[in-house]
Amino acid sequence: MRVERIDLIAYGHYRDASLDLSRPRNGLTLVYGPNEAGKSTARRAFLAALFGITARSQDAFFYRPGSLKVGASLSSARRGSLDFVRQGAGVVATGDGQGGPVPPEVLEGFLGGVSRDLYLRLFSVGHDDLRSGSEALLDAEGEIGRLVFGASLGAGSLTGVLRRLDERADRLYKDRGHIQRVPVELKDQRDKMDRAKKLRVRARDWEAKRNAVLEAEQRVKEIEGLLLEARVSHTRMRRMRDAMPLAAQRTERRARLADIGSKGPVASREWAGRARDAQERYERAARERASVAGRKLGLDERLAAVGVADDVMARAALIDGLLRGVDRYDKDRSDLGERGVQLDRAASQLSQLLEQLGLRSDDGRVVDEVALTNVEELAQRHAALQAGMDAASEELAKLQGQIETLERRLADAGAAPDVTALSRAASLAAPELGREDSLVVSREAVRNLESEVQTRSGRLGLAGRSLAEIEAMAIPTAKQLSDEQGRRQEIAARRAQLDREQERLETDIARVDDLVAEILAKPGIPDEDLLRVARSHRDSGWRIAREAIETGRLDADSASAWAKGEAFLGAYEDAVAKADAAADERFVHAADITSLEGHRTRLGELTEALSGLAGRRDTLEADAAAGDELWRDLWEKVGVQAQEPELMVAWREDQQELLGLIGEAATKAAAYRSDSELVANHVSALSSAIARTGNTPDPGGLRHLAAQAGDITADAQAKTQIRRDIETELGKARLSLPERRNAVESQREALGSWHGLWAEALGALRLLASTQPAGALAAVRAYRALPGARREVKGFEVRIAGIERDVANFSQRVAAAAAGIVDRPGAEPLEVVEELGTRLGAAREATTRRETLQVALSEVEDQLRQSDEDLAQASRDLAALRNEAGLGGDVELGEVISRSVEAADARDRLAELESDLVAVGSGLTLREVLAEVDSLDMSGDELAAATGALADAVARLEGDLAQANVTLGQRKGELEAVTDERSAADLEQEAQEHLASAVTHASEYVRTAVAARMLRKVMADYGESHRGPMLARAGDIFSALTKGAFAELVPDVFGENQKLYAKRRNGELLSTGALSDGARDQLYLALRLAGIEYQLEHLEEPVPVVFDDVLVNFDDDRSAAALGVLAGLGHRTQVVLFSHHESLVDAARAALPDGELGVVRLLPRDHDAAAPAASVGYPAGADGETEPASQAVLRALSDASRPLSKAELLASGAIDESSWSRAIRSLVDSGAVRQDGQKRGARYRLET
Amino acid sequence: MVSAAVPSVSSKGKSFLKFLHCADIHLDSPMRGLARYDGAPVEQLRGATRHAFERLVSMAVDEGVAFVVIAGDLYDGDRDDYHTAMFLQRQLRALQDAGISVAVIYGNHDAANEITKRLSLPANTHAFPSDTPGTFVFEDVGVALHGRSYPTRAVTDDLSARYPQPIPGMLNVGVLHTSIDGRPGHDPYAPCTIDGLANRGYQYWALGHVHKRESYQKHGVHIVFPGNLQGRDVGESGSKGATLVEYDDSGIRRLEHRDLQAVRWDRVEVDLQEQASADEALEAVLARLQSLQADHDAGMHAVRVVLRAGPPLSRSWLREADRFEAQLRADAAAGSDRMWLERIELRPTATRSTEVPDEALSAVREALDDVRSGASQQVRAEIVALLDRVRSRFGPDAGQVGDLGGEVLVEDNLSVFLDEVESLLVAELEGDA
Repeated sequence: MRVERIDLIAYGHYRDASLDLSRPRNGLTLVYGPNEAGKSTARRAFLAALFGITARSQDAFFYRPGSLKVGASLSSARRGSLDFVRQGAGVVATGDGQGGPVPPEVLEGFLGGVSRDLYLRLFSVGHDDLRSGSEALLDAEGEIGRLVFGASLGAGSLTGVLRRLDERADRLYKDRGHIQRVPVELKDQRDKMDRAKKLRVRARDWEAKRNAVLEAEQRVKEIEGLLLEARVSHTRMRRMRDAMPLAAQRTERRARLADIGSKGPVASREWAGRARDAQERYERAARERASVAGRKLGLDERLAAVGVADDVMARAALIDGLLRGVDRYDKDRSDLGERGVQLDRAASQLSQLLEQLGLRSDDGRVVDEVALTNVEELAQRHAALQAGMDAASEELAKLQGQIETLERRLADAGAAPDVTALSRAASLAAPELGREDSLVVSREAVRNLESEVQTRSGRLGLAGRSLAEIEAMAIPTAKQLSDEQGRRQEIAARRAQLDREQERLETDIARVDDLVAEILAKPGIPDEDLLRVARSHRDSGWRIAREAIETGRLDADSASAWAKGEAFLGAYEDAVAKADAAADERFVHAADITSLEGHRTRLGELTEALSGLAGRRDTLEADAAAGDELWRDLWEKVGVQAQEPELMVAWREDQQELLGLIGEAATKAAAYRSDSELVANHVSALSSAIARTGNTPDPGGLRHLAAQAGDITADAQAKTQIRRDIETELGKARLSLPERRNAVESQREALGSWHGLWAEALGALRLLASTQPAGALAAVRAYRALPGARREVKGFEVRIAGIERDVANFSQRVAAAAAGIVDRPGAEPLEVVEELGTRLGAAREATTRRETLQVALSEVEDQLRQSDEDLAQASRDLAALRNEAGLGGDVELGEVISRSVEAADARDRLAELESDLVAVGSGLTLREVLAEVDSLDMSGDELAAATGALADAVARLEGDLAQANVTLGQRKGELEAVTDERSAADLEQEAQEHLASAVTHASEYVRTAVAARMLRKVMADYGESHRGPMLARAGDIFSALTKGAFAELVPDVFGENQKLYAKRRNGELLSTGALSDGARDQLYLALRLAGIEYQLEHLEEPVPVVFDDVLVNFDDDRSAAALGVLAGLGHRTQVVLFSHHESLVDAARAALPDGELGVVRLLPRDHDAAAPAASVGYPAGADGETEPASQAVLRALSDASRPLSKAELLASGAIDESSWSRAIRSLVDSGAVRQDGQKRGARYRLET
Repeated sequence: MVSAAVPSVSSKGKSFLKFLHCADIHLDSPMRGLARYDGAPVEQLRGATRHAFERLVSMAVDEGVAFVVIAGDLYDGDRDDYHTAMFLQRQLRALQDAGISVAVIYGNHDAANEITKRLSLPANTHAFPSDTPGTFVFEDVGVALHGRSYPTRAVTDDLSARYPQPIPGMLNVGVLHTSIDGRPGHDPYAPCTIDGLANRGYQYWALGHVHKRESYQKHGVHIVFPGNLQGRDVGESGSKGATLVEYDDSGIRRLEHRDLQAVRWDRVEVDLQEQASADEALEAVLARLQSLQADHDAGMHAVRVVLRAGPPLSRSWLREADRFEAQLRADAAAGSDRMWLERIELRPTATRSTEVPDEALSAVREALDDVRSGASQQVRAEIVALLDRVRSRFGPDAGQVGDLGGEVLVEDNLSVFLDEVESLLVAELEGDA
């Protein structure tokens, strides 16, 4: 399958662009895009077109992912062509199948079933792949399996995979590891289980602890009872002890209260408080009034002492205005001088202009602008006319020189010889050159064949025989040989059959023997003759007995002999008994005995079969011997010793080949003779034709003569062609001569008419007719400057007059302000203004001080009024209090107040005492407490002693109780410690969690470890089975990539680890680690290319192979070599190389033959563009014009460093009118070039 | 025959009575197979069997049941810890305080347990004898309970054959710890038949021993395994609890299963074949987990997540399983502190692509096929030896490694194991290329 075109309809920054990948059909398509041109985007678009647009495409920045749109045109030798567009998940046909959906299986068919992943892995090689793959070569240390497998897989680093697997496995588990996760988890699990077991509580332990708690609780209860009793007694004693002194104080206090009441009037505590308060207020008001009166006096005096300058204050606004105008006055005076200098300078410039125009004074004259412009234009036109005149004269002189030179060269060129006959003879001989070359080879081939016939005859034992004899030999036919093989196989099969039968019979006999022996070995099996003997003996006895019964006489001898001397009757009974016993015994073992008989019968049959087998074997051997005899006879007839049929089959095949070789040798010898004669005839004809041209024929043979004839013919044709070229050129030059002369003449006429116009124009400016253009242009400039100079002089004069007015005005205002205040005749206005300012400041300060004093005085007067009011109010309050208490005016108020307070205090103290008594009584009323104290029949000391003793008892019991509670707490704590619920169960749960972790990690470990093991095995096996062809091919490619610096790749397959070495041209072997970085890159590329070729063989439909900047680190030579290798791959399938190195384009043009390279260029992208660019990628068309035109424009603009017009660009010569429109439009659209102005006025410049 | 007084439920004005039937409490038995990870709700998971039992007690009180039947295996094996006993005692007393009687038989696990011999039960709790079948009659509520505790751990006789004749006029309930005629994963103790039980003349058989809930009705007789109260590993997933039985003079009226577990085990399969990226896949799994929790808002969840995914997601997941699983666990923990992801298994839907001959990967697959078929005997022996060696590191726990999620460590599962190795290897190789 080939990708003919990729359409970037809406993709990345592309819009409606196309990549034409259709050329070349066999070779390399190079897609060149400088940085930022969108090379990577184009490469992704290539993948997106073939395999679909990924959901999160990084190219969705101008367009939403669902709006990305990319198309392709595919072709396949098997399947025809397919044009389609992709958007989102949809694939729609374009072209012939317009509009219909493309079924997935159709596209998959074009792709040969290759998935995106597989494609990326195998058929897409990028710079990063090359780097990582090259580094992986170091890691792999040349291990063949890893390299070969890696190349087939397209993998970057199998070493990385292996390392990752190994590290993961080690991290999880090692047999005796301490830090790996499995052992750590297992240790934790066991630790926790051990701790859990320790935390478990046995029933007996728990019950003991619970009983201890119950005992401690009982003890606490007992002590609490005793303590309660002691505390009740102690409380009563303590109450009486505390109440006794309080009761005594109460009595005393009541007596004191009665005493105070007897001394005079007593009021309430509240009245006493108010009276004391009124007295204090009266005294305070009196003190305040005296103080305020003193302050008022002082203020009156200070106000009288303040003096204010009112005349100055009256002119305050005027003086402030002057102070603000000081800076302005100062600046005006400074500006006056500067403006005077500027006025002088402007006046001087005006004088200079007048002088330049030849005017003594300024008459205010102005010259018309039309006249000035007329002079300017005529002056400029004069320069162009003069240049045109010079150029036309030079062209004319050049043409005349050229005609002379051509006439001289034509005279020098001689006439050429006639080579018509020679050409004919050479063309007849040309097809036979190859025949002459092949004569040597043919001769050698004939000799080799004859030698081979001799060798093979000897090998077949036919050395002495002639070729005719060999051909005439009556060799047994192939069928005879095949029959003999069949016969022997049949004999062998029959032998094997007999062997098997014999073995089976022998096995059966052995097995039956074992069964017999087994039965006989059983205890109690009767001897088989026993019954027969016993019966026979019994029957013999019976015959004697019957005879005795019949005859009435016992044959004593027979009886004695039968009974062996025993009494006959007893012996007979004994014999009957034995026979019966034997019969019984046999009955008991009847089954075994039946089996035994069966076995013996079977044994007989088997033995008989065995002897039959021996007979069949004898017959077979006799047949075999007869067959062998026939076989030997057959071969004796042709005089060859018979061997095994297999060998004779091979012998016959060799003999048949020999016959073929004999025939081939004869045919080739005849052909050699015929070719020799033909070549000799052509040598003779060509030699005589050369001699006829006046040359001596070369004696070297037909090829030499043909070359000589070619040289002679070419020489003659070259001479003829040179004369023809000169004559053509001379004709053209002579035709041009009148035209050039006319050009000079017309330039001269134009100059003449200019002079007339010039004189007229100078008159309008009152210039002399002899004035040259440069002088006239200076006068034009002076006329134009004149009005400006006049305006400047006038302006300065007006501004100076204004400033002088302002200065005089300021002086007058100062004099008015100072009149009557500052008397300084002749002083500078500025000094007077300063003096006025100082005085105004002093006057304002005095005014402020006076206002402050007046405010303070007003406040003091208010305070004086308030003090008078307070004094009167206090006097009224005191009078009212006396009335309230019914006191006469003579009673001392202070004494009544003191007595009232003392009485109130005494009453309060009495109430406190009674309250204390109630408190001491702890629940008893005052009366009950006083009664209890009254009833006490104990002294104070005795009471204290009893109370102390009870306190001690309480304290002791409290101590006991605290101790008992501590014990109880401990016991409860011990019980609670064991009832800490789930601790053991929780630990077991944790142990289970560790166990689960260990299991998880162990499972992970075995998976990972076995994966690593399997990978190693696969790599070794794969390397073993594939290394031959793959390494041989990779070696060839590596040699080509390194321009022969390395001859081949050599596998060392005998070491423990099979290694790969690269062999230098001088035979030196280098390990992969010893290669330079560049060579290692090339080795990796060679391995990948070999892998790709190998994989391509296995695909039904070849797919394109894409490389991306893989030659970045190759030097020029090796880049050229690599381009050749890639183009070579391009004969097997389409090959596309993306690169951002422009030099690679030139290198590819130089390295690859015509027709094996196609170049597609991507132009730089405009990052500031608001919308995607259209048509930024242009393929090299059939004539290659479009792209060079764009490049030529860019080059011309770059060289010029200024904007150029279309005419200038066309004049640069590298671009013609027909390519212009398309080239400039694309450059402007892409943002590479900016256009200023429109249509004919348009100028173009490079966008910076 | 023993008589026990129980409060009359009918006095509460209802026309029927209730009792609660549970079994296989396995108090303080740990949850198995939960490997701890950052964010795992460790504390919430503690004491699950106790919490479940507490729920049972609360429910019995709330429902006002007449009595509770526990059909064996209160404890777990030979775990002898009086803490367990004290907890049990406290719970039985709570039932006693609510006036609820309890009838208990001891099962195979209890027979081996020291606590069984030592614990003095509260007055409301009656344990059936182990030497001979016994009967408890709760006259107030018209029920006769017949049962027999296991004298030893392994009981191979049909205990039900010697259970007493039913008492006429009462609801006769047989209490038995058995796997009937055998159940996978359960020792075949006290074998009997459904027909045998149905023909005994009782109205209800309260069975225990089988941890999965099952119930039969034959000739009007209800034969019920309530299942265990709290699942303890992913093999015991789904709803767990007890059976609430309503009855009246005419017999059994209604059975109802009540969910009581503190931690619910679930096995969730998520199909990720539509998801293209790992982020989308994580979102889909989280959504599934959230819906699971919404469906069963019962408390803690322990979940095994099985993901079905095809390439390329399966490859990137396999290659970076640690990272993805940690991410999923972290996300799940951020969404809920009541969910523990027990395991995350990835089942690639298509490990083998048949679209195109990929020489190198085919070599990997062929090598593994050789191990599967036994053609590579030496490698197979090496792998088996490795599995044995690793498993032996687990010492006394080696036997249960397979049950704890280490299936691949068991030689019988070699084919599954090799599938996983293949997936991993292909993912690594394709990922690296």
